[in-house]
Amino acid sequence: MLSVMDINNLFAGYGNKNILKDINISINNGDILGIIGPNGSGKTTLLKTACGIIKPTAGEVVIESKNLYSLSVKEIARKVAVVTQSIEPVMITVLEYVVMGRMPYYKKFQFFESKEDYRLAEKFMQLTDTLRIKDQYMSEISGGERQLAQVARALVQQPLILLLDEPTSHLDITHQIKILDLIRRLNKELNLTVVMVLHDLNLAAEYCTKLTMLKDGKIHLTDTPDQVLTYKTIEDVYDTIVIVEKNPLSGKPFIIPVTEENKQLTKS
Amino acid sequence: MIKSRPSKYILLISVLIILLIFVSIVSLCVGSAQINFSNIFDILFYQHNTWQYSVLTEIRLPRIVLGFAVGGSLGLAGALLQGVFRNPLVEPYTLGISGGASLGVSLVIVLQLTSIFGLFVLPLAGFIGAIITMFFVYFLSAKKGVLKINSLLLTGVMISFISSSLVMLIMSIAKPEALHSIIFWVMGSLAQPNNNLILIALIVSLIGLIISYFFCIRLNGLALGEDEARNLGINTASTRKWVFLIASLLTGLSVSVAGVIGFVGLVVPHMIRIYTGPDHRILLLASFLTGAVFLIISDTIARVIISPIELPVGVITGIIGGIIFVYALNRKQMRL
Repeated sequence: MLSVMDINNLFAGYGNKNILKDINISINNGDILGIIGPNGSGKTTLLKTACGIIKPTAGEVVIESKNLYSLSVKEIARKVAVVTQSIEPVMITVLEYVVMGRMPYYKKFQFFESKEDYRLAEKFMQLTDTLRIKDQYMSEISGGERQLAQVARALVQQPLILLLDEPTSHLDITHQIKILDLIRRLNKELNLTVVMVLHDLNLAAEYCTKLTMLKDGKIHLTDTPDQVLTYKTIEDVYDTIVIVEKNPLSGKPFIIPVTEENKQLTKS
Repeated sequence: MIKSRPSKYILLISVLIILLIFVSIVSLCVGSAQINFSNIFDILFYQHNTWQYSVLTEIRLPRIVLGFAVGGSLGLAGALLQGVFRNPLVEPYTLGISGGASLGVSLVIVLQLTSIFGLFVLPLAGFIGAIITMFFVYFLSAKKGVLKINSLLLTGVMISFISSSLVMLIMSIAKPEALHSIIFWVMGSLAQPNNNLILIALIVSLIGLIISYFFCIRLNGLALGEDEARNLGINTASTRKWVFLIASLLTGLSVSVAGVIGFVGLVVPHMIRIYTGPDHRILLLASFLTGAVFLIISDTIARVIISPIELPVGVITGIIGGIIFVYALNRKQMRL
């Protein structure tokens, strides 16, 4: 398997405080890697370090056999595209926003997008089902549509790897499934490598090919969903009792929460 | 509605240029000395020895050129600052820069430094005052290289307040003749007697306009937010620094030749943005031209409204601008 991004012995955080400690992950071509873990375990920090926004205090991120932090911001943007949790609701149309994904490819004194830039934008907007809202303002569309527009913008960057920070938070179940279905379809059709931070363990089990579970800034386990999502690891990491069943359709692990009232029942 | 962006932009710029020419001609015609429009070209090209020719070329034309340079610089500086800080309330005036400049000038006047170094020290003091305040505000509100917009605005307003109090302190102990010069400066005026300074202001404002266009794409990215801009390959920290520097130079220059003229940098980009959205490729040039038009109009009003007495132009821009400021505050769509 071809490795797209290697994170080696990474320590990173804000200021002098390390949040991430000794992180090692190898992301292979075609992976959908889910990053899971409790609040404050360093998921978003890991994502921000992998796209160069946070510089590590030690260790390295290798992409295409080059150290990510030796590249310029512009070069990174051609290799790594990021879908953040929210963007400023600006008064620009969806098409204008998506075509901004071509910025990393602009020549030095280029002021306007080329025809090719628009062609690419429309192609990926078709794919993400945002072409029909291309003339609406980003500030006026729904959260779900904005998330889809962000994915289209990220694809227009033609990255080697797509990072998503909790793409399903703030979305209803329709849009959660819609966006994750889209991610998986892109993964299959374009052979796109994806890393995403997810809160919902069931969605992570369903859509990811590999999961990295973080606890207190350290990797607890990286493996396939059925190896990672056992009641034992979840209890260790989240300090919560759950029952893990199998999803009858996909055979993937399915997590059922156990409430305080029902704790007695699990003992028997 | 016009769909294609380039044609919409060309239309806007054409309208602004026509407006600029129109306003300049009107400004050339009106004043305490009555000169008819029909005679203007005749006087300008053929009657070089008349008093009308002197009035036009030595009094009114330099003011129009200065209005163009200063109005343009302030409009552009406002557009740059609002773009880089993503806040429609940021402008040279609210950041305390104009206050710092007037403090510098007041000090020079009251210490009578002009008698030692010559009149040129006045604009220099205004310029240095503006630049020092800018760096002061910048470093006070930057924590580890990250600028916090709220602390920036608050620091700016506080510095503005402190410097205006100090100016009042200086005014209260100044001699009557010094007092007049200080008031002239604090209120802003385009009656700059030195033609060389006007020429410098014109050249620097145009250079500032050209240089700022190297940052227009990056400013568009920044409008989406800090992280989003970084992810689009924009070096946000260096963009901030450079744009802040360009805006400081433009403001410092404007204040040094024309005194404190408030609200141009606030009102103009705000009005343009309603039409263009946050696209700096058009916003910067349009703000420059509109700033120029706005200031030339304001100056014409200031000259003729209670003619032959002349009002300081800062009073006119302050009244018009202040009203629009309040309106902007109450608008629902406050964000860029």
